Amino acid sequence: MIDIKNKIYINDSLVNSEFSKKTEDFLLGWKMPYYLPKENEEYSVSNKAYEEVIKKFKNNIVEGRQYCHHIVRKNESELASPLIYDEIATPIIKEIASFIKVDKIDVDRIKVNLQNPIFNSNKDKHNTPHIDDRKNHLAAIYYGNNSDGDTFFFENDKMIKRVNPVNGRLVIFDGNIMHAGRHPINNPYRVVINFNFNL
Amino acid sequence: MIDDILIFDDIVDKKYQLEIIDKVLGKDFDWYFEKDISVADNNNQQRPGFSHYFHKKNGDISKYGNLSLPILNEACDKINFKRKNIIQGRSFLQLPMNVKDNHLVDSPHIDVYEKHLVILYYVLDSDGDTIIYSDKYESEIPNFKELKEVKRIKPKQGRVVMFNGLHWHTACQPEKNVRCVINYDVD
Repeated sequence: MIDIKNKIYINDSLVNSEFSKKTEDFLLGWKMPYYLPKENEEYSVSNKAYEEVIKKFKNNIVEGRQYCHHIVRKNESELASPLIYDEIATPIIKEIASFIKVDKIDVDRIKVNLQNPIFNSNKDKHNTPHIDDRKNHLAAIYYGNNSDGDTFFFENDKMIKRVNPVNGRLVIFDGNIMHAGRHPINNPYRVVINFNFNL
Repeated sequence: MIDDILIFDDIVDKKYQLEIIDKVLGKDFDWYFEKDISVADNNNQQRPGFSHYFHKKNGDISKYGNLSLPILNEACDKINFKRKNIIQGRSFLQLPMNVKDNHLVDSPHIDVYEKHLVILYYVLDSDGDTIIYSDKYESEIPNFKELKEVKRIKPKQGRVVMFNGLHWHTACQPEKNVRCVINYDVD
């Protein structure tokens, strides 16, 4: 397995353009159900453990609701969404496994988020910085459409990288790196698939 | 076919209004993305939102199909309207959105180009008024800038508005609140 400790890999060629177009059509199409999480469950974090983070970043944090679709739920052996797992998630998982040079990769959670522009945002603001899980894990973000709404990566309270959503782009990174997305400003929608893998 | 615009509040009782909110905005209710909430394939004004079809034109009914029927029945009873068919029954959901061009009024539209009655139920108190124009569909698409607004209705939980579906109509993009409606087209 390649070294992932503190690493962020951005790759635009892991999936081909035919797949990324098909995936965009699927994610934004009439067969793809989305669900509206309860208001207190939908933001990046709702945990008291993030009070310090929120204090540190408060001038740059802007939150808003989003629509979600779970493909694999954490701690559930049964797939939440088998069709979408087979059609969309599996080819991406295979490419991630190949990129990090492992034969098999253990999925912990896969979730699709769809966001629209919200108020009080600007190009330097972002959602609440967070990590998806306290345990060591590998994380990946697949961008489902060309949009704005960068993903920000942080070390302590400093931004170390920001990644622009490009359809088909995959960011594969050490899940211990704090990160945050942002609702789009100039585009009417932004759709991403978030992957977490057990290490 | 009625030609007035009729508004009734609390078309179903409060308990049922809350049951609808609970189901429709619940975590298990499935929503489908619409790039534009008013007009499909509208590339000029992409005003995204979500829809759920309770009753489809082809006769398919969602597992929530019975949830919205009391609204339809009560509304038709109010005006003694003997409906023949449900052409379609849908729900729409929009989150407050920052509209880039500050033009809050969505594209005027007709739901189906045949004689029908629109029954529009507001699931929540919200902004995002419904606008109805005096102009009716007459085989040609008019210049939308020349349409005359005849009524503006504020979304209020439990409220129903009914009108001749051949009137051009639209909605405003909500800026502050979640806007959720149930919309039946019947003949």
